[in-house]
Amino acid sequence: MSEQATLIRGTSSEITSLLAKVTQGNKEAEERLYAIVYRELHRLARSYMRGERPGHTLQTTALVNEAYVRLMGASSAGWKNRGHFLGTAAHVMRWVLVDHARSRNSKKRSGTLQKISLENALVYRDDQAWEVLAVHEALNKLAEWDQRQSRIVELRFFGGLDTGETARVLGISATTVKREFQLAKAWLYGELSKTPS
Amino acid sequence: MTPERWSQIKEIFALAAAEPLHRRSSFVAHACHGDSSLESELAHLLAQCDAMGNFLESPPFNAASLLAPGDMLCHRYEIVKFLGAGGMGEVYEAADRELGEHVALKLIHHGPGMHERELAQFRSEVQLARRVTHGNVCRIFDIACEQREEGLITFLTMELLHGETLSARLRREGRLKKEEAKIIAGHLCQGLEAAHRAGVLHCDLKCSNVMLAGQGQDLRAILMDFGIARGLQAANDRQNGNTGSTVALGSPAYASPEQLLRKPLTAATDVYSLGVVLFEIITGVRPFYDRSALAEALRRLVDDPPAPSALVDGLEKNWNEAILRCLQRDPARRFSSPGEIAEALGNAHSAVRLRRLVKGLGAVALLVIFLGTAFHGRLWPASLPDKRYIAVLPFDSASSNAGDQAAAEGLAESLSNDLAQLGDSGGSFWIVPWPEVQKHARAGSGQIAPSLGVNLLIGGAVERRTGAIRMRVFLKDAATMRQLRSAQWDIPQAEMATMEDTLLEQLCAILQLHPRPEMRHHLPVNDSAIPGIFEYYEQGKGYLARRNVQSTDQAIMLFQKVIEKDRSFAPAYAELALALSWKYRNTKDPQWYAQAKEACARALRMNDRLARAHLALASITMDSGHPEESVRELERTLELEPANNDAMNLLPRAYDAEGRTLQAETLLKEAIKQTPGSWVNYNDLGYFYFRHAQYRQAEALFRVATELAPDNPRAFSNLGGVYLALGEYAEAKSVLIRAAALNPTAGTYSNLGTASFRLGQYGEAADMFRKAAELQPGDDRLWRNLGDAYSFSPQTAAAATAYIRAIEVANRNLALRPQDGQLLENIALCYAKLGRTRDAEQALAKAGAVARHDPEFLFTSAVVHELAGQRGRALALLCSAIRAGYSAAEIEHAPELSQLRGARCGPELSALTSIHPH
Repeated sequence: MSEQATLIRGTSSEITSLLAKVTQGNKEAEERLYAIVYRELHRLARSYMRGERPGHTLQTTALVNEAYVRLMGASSAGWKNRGHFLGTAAHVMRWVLVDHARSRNSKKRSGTLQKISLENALVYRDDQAWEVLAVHEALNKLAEWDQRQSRIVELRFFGGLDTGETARVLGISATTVKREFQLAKAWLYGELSKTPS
Repeated sequence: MTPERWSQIKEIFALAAAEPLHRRSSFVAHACHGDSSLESELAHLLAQCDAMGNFLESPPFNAASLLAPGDMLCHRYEIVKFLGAGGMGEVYEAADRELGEHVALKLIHHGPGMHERELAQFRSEVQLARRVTHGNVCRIFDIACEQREEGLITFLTMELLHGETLSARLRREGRLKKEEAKIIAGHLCQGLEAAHRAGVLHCDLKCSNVMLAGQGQDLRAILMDFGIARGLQAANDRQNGNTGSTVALGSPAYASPEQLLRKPLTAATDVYSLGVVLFEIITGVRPFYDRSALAEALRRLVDDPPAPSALVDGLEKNWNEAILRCLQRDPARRFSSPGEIAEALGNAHSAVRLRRLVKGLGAVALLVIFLGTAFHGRLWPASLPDKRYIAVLPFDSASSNAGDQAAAEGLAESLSNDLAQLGDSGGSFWIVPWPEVQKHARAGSGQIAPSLGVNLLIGGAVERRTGAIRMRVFLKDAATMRQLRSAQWDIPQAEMATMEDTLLEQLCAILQLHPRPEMRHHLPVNDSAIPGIFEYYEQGKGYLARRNVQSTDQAIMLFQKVIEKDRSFAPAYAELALALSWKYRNTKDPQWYAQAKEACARALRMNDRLARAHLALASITMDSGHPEESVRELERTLELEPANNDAMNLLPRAYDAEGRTLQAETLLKEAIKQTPGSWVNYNDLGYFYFRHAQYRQAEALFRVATELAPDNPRAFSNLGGVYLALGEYAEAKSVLIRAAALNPTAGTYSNLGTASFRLGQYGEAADMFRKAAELQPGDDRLWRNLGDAYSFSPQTAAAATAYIRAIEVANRNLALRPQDGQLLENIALCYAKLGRTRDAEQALAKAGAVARHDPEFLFTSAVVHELAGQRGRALALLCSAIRAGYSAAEIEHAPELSQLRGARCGPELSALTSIHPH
C-alpha cells in the first residue's frame, strides 16, 4: 500500500531521476512517470472543477504547465527534461481525453453511470466528444505509416504544445513541425469528414 | 498507404501548398509524372488544407463543466446543454420535467464549509429576490440542492433568456450606438427601480449580469442574478460568526467605494454600479479602467472619474452629468433611486419615440437594420480596443535564405520603433520595446499576451517574387489570436527603398494613427541605385535587430559592403556605427571604439539628424566612462525620436553615472506616468531602486510588473532578486521557481541557488549553480557561487575546483575587459576562499584602483579582509557598506562572516545592521 502511495505521489527528485532514465530509453521508468503524470493531471483538473481555484476555463497548456511546476517543484530541470515531460504529458492528455470521451459516449447510449468517477473532472464541450475519438482513431491509422507525424499531432492538439515546444520535444526544426502538422491536419480533416459519427 | 508513398506525397504537398492557387494544379500534375492516383490524392489533400480553417488548432477542451447532458437533478431538471461559466458558477439549459419548459440552471460555487444554517440564509436572500417580477429583471423560479458524488450542489433555476450579455456585446462591438444605449439605460433603471421597491439590492451589478434579448424594437435588457451576491454574503457572514459585512462583495471593477471599504450598503451602491455600466456603454470603457484589477479598484477610492463627454463627442449634457452623479464617491451625493436617473436622462420618452420611429418607417427600415447587422462583420473591420498595448513580432520570410529572414526581422524592428514614436499622452497606446519581444522569442515559451503584457499583436510576412516584394501584415487579438485586420501589397524591386515607409503607412491605416512626416526613413529612391544595396542594408538591419554577438558581426560586415558600394549612403554609416558601438560594449576593445566613433562622425557629417548615429555616440561615450557626453547625445537622440527605446533606457543610467540620481529617478517615474500600462517602465524603475538598495520600493514596482505581465519570466526573476536582498528566502524561492518554469536562464538558476543556499539547502544550491554555470559558462560569478555551495555541502573537495575555474574564467574575461572592477573583486574573493591571501589582496588592490566605491565593492572588500584574518579592517569596511545602503540581510546571512558574527564583535555588527534604513 505504501509502495503504491510513493509511486503515485512521486517526489520531485524521483521525477528528475525518472526523466533521466526515460532519456536513456528505460521503459519501466517511462511507465512509472506516466502513472505519476496521469494522476497529477486528473487531480489538477478535478480541483479546477470544484472551484478550488480561480477561473473556470481549463486549458490543456495551462494544465500541463501547472502539473510540471507542481511535480518538479524546486528541482525543475533544464529544457531537455522539460521536453520529455511535455512529451509524456501530451500522450497522457490524449488518453485522459479519449477515456473520457469513450465513457461519455457509452453513458449516452446506455444511460448508466460511468465506471470511472474520475472522469467527471474532465469535461470538454460535448460536441467535441466525437471529434476527440475520431482524431484519436485516425491518428492511430496515420501512425501506421508515419509515426512522427502522428506524434506531432498528439503534441500539438492533445498536449496543447506550441510549434516551438513541439520542435524541441522531438528535436526537429519548427519549420518541419509546421509543415508536417499542416499535412497531417489536411489528411485528418479528410478522414474525419468521411465518417461523421 | 505505405511510408514510401506518404513521403512522396509529403514532398510534393509542401511545395504545392506554397504555390499560388492558380498554379497549383499544373505544378502537381508536373510533379506527379503522370501518376494519376498520386495526383488525385494530392488534389484532395490540398483542397482539404484550404477548407480546414482552424481545424485542430485549439485544444480539445477549454471549458470545464460539472454536469453532463442527460444528468437529472432533483428528479425534475434534466440538463440539456452547457451554456457558459460565470463568476458564480456554470450555467446550463435544463428541461423542467414538471412544468414542461426549459429553464436556465445556475450552479452556485460555495466554500466546502457551507452547511444547513448558512444555506438557509442564502436561500432566504434568494427567496426575497424571487418577489421581483419585472420585464427587465430575470425571474428566479427555484433554489434547490442535491447531494452528488462530487459534493453538495446548490443551484438556482431561472428564466431562460436567449441573447448575449452586455459585456459580450461591448467586447464584440465596442461602445454602443447612442440610441441603443439610451434604450438599454432606460431598461436597467426600470428593472433596478422595481427591485429596490421590493426591497432587494443587487450588489453585483455589472455588464456581464445584463442580458440583451431581441433586436430593434424588441430589444430588451434584463438584469440577472438578483439576490445571489447578498445571499452568498449572508451565508459567509453566518459562517464566520459575524453580523457585520466582512466579505468584500461584488466585482472589483464595478463595486462602489463603500463596497470596497466593506461599509454597510444601501440602494446607492447599486446606483454607483449602474453608473459604471452606463459609463461603459456610452464610452466603451470603464471609468477607472486599468489592467490591474487592484489598481482599478483603488483608483476609485481616491480619484474622480473622467467626464464621459471628454471621451464621446456630442454627448448630451444631462447624460454627462447624470453619469458623473451616479459615480460620486459619497453615497449621499448620488441619485437616491434608479428612477431618478431615468428621469434625469429623460429616458422613458426617447425609447417610446424610437419605437414609433421604427414602426413608422415600416418594413424597409427594418430590412436595412437587419442587413446592417448581418454584414457588419464583413463590411467594416473589427473594432479595436481603446487601450492598445502592442507587440510587433519578427516578420516571417517565405524564403529560406538567412539574409532574407534577417531582413524581415529588421523590418519588424523598424516598424516597432516607428510606431512607438506615435504614442499619445493618454497612455492608451504602447508598443513593447523590441528587445523584450526578442527575449520572448528567444525563450520560445509562454503565452505571448501575459508574457509581454499586450492585448494586440502585429505580425507579417515578406515574400520575394519576380520583380517585386510582397508584404503581408496583420493585427491580431493577443489573447484569442483572432485576426482583426490585415493588409497586403507589392513593392516593385526598384522601389525597395520605400519599403519601411510604406509599411509604416499601412500599419498607421490599420491602427488609425497618423504618421508624422519627419518620421520618413529618408532612404533615397534613386533610379541609379546600385543593385543589391538596399538588400544588404535591410539584411544588416535585420541582423542588428537580433541583438546578439554573432549577428552583430554579420551586420557590421553587411553595412561595410553597402558603404563600399555607395560612400554617400549616410544611414548605412549610422547603422554601422551602432553595430560597432555594441561590439565595443561586448568586448571593451578600444579598436571598436575608434571605428565606431569614425562611423558616427561620417554619418553625422552627411546628416546630423540621424538618431541612430547619435545613439551610437551616446553608447560608446557611456561605455568609455564619459556619461556627461553620453547624456548630451541621448538628449539629442530623443529630440529626433521622442520614444527611442534604447535612448530612454540608457538616459537614466547615464544620469545615474553622472551622479544625477534624482534626475534619473524623475525620468523613470515620468515614463510610468506617460504609459502606465507598460510593465517595462515599472521594471526599469524597480531595477533603479534595486541598484540603489531601496528594496521595498523595488519590490512594489516589480510586483506591479508581474501583475501587468503575469507570464513574464524577467519580472518574476527580478522580484525574486529583491526578496533575496531582503532576506526573504522562502518567498524568493517560490517566485524564482515560477520564473524558471517560464524561462530557465542562468540568472534565474543562480538566484534560485542563492535562495537554497541561504535556506541551508546546500546540495540543492550546488545543483542550481551548476545548472546556471552550464548555461553560461563564461560567467565567473556563477562558478564562484558553485564553489561556495560545494564548500558547505558534503562535496567540499569540489569547491576548490570551482573556485579555480572561476578565477580562470574571470581572467579570460579580464583580457577582454581590463577595466572591469567586478571581475577583479571576484578574483580576490576566490583567492581569499582558496586561502591564497597574498593573491587576494593584490587583486583587491587592482580592483580598488579601477572600481567605484559602491556598496558592493565595500562589502566584497570586507569579506576578503575577513577571510584574510584582518577583522578590524573588515569591520570598518562593513560599516561603510551598510552606510552606503548595502543589504542588511546579505550581511546577516553571508556565511563568510559567520565567525565575525559569532565573535565578541557580534553585538557591534548587529548594532550596525540595525541602523540600515528600510
